[in-house]
Amino acid sequence: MNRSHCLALFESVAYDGKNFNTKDKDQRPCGDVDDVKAILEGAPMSDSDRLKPCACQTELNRQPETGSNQFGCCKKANGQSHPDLKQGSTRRGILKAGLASLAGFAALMGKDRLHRAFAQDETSTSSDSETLPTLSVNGQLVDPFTGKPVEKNPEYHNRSGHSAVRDGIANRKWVMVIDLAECDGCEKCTVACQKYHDTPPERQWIRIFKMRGAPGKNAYWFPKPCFHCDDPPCTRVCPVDATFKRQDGIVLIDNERCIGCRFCMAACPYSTRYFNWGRIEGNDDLSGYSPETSVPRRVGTVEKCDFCPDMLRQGTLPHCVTACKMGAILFGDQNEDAVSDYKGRTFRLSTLLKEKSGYRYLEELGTKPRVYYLPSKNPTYDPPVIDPDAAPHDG
Amino acid sequence: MSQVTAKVENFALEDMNRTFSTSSIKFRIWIGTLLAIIGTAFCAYIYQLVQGLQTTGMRNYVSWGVYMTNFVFFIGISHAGTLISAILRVTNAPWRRPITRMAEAITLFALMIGAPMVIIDMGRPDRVLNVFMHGRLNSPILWDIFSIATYISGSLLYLYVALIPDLALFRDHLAKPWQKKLFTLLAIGYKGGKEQEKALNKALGAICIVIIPVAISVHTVVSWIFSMTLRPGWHSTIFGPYFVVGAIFSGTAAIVTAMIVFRLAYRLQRYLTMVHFKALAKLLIALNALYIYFTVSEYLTIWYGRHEIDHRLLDVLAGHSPYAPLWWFMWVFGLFLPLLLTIWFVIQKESRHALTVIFVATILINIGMYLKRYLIIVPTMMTPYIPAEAADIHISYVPTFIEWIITAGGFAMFLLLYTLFSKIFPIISVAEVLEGIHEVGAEKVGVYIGDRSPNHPPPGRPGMASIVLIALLLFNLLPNRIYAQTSDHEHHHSEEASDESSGAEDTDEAVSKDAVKLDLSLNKEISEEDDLPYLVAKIHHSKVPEGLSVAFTIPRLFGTLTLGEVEVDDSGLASLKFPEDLPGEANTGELQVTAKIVKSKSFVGSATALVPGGTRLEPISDPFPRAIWSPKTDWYLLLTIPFLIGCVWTVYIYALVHLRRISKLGGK
Repeated sequence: MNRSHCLALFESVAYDGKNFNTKDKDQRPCGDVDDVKAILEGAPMSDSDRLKPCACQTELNRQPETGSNQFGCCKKANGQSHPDLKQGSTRRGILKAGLASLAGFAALMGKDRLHRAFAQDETSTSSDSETLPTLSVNGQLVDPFTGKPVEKNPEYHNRSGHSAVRDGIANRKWVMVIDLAECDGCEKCTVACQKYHDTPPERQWIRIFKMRGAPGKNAYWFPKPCFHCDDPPCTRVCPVDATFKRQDGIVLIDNERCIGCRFCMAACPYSTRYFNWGRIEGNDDLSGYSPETSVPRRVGTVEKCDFCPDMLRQGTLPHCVTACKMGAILFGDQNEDAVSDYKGRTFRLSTLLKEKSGYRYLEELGTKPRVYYLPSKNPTYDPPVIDPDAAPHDG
Repeated sequence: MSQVTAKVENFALEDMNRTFSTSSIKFRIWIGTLLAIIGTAFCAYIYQLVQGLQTTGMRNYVSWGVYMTNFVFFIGISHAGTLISAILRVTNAPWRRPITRMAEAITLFALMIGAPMVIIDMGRPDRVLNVFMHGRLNSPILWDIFSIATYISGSLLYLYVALIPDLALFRDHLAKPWQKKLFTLLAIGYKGGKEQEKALNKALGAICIVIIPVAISVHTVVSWIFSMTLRPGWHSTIFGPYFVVGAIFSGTAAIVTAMIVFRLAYRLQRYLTMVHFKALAKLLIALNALYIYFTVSEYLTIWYGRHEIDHRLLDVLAGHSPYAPLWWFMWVFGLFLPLLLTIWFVIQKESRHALTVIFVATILINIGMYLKRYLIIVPTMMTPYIPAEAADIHISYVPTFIEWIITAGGFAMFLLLYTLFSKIFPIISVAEVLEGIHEVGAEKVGVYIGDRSPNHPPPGRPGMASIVLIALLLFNLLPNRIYAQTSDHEHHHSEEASDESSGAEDTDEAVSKDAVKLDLSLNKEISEEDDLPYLVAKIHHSKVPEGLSVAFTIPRLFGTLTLGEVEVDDSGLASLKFPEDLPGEANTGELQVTAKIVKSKSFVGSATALVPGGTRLEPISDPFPRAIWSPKTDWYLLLTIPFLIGCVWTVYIYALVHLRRISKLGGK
């Protein structure tokens, strides 16, 4: 959601006349890139700003019953207090302890059922706390509402079985479209990703490849994130369910469970997974971890592109998308049949794929990636320089 | 006949008691060396634990290396016991009798070294219990854990059951009191009575049949770790049988090597004669030929098929890469030369160098098999689907000193366990030999029953040969070190001036414009041409200027989707086909459509309405179905795996019940 959308809503408020609400006016427009940056970079915000709820925060939680009120989302966000993170933790603690004692017993067959039962219980109790803390640049987790650092919180951390993390954001099917005709190989997506995930320089969750097809065919830049396959070869082989597929399409890794066998890395045909081979300097405080932020990273575990679910929970695009000033990376919800670029320019996914002959990389492997590519036809950049004798490598 | 048996029994008790002696200086140096290597390896492992796996040569592309090679190799060696012992016992080959013990012990100790190699390879060995707490039956690693655990228990049981008659035989003829106590305890009162013998044979017969499919399953599942992925060179249908044959091949070679070493070290010429070596050599020829056949069909098909990625893999294996010398070495010195040497060994008669030759051949086979496993694992990982060169990444893998020392430690530990076993328990299954002599005669069992130790075959001195071999191997590995240089690709991020352009439309001017009322509705009767519903916006204003447009938009999560811009007609109406196939609200299918006046300098206005009729999102009944990628195990796996394991364990329990019977009978 971008500024224009928010303003459009306010505008219509003014003209509708029925649902006019002065309180709504006080909401700061949210989802704005600058705004999120301000939170992330710890820029000073006035207290009144901090306390204002985000207008579109609950877009994610849109409920059918609020449909009659167009601004139900805003109303909900306005009146209600922020989820009390401490509340209910005791009860979950008891539940968790109970689960732990049962875990060994229910190792094989009963495990899944038990897990699901537990998960359902969690969903019912935590429906109002779907947001996740955001990671600031200095590695601190901050509350997206208040900008204050988040205390260690069992709700989001150390909870491998936490339903919100394992199940994903309800009714979403995240999808990425990369327009190869627009990509100029500037690597700003890579840099932004590395900045926000605090990765060492050689580790690129989204990496730019110089591709060339058949001899005589144009060379092109090929950004490669994790494809978040719908039939992921990596989660198939994981012995401990540390890497998992969520119902919103995202494949995540729980580095508190990962045993570091690296089978998923061997199984991934796209080489998108990275391993923390050595100790990580300056990474002593491992508290604030959630599979949705993927940081702080842990030695001896696997990591990869996560589609920034922490950003998505705030209704904000992943970092690589907002960083791509060419508008080559588009992101959206397949259930909405729409993808947007960093400016908020929105396209119908189905139309886009049809008109621009979208394809998925190595479709023949049957992994059903959630990342679509638009061919590098009529590129708007200088193609990469490639040794003319090099063997062609193309999807 | 009984006279012969008694004679052999005397020989055997004397000879075996000699093998239990630990006083020789050579033995002490040997144990000391092994312990030193193991100690160094232990320190290396501690260092690796502290520093993480960055101490190894493995990196993100080649993420498995020597440790996985060791794992596959040792699991392969472990097949010695099954083949020699179980298959030959089931088929009742008389010459198997003196060597069953050696073979069974190899199985157990190789498994004890091979299985922990995976834990050494793990990034988080402290979380190994997660496999039991969060285990997913869909993962081939779980299959491996189950089958290897079943195999280890089975081979321990098998070794023990076959050992019981010997324990009983030696119980009363031992010098060391602690050994006597141990034997008495372990012999569970076996005295060789008819009923006890019957129970023992039942237990042994049951295990030695069930252990064969278990062993085959183990190496099949090991191969499935690779072949279940989509990687070139791994995703192969013949990998199961290919690995099983390879395992039996290297296992048989290992047992021949062990026989020659024990024969020389413990002066067992009487028990290990040309009969056994020739029989095993014939088996080796068959297995060698079979393995060549599998290897050729594996590589010939991918070479002829010329799939792009397979072709790149073959380039790494056979072309200009550090691995090519290893690959060709594997073919020449690991497969064809040993084949020729074993054939010569079988047809030669009374050659002085016969045992040296077969020793060289079997060592070469196992070096070749080690290389083969290494060449299955590493080059495939160097052949990603998207070539790494396309991102200027240099991939290489050179095992570090830490990896080699831990590997050496694994081998040393194996040798130590094997040596200590031979110092405590009779390495020749004496009782079985005696039984064989009683049944079919000494000649068929292959045991020499003359008074003096036999001169033929000559003892053989494999010392020189092994030095030559090690030199050959080192020579071969050298180029690997020279070619491969790790250089981490450095990315220079050009800090280009960022063109931060605000994406938001500037609508602040709207204040100065005339506000008009806009009605938005869904009209189904506007057009007679088709039945499609239309979105209709009506501007309520006395004078609608020309060229005024209305944009219909729908909010999406990250932006506003424009359905279209329509020029307003004279009556102030603008209509647009309703996009029926556009997904609406999750449950209701409603779309929040906004109509807004655009391209007007004097008018501003917008209207929003919830319009029913968008595609309704089907509620997800089960977002995590039973599938191989899901946390829920597929039914067929859930049924098959516990059933198979249950069957095997039932047989084990059957054997244990018979052991209890023996114990009860002995107590009387």
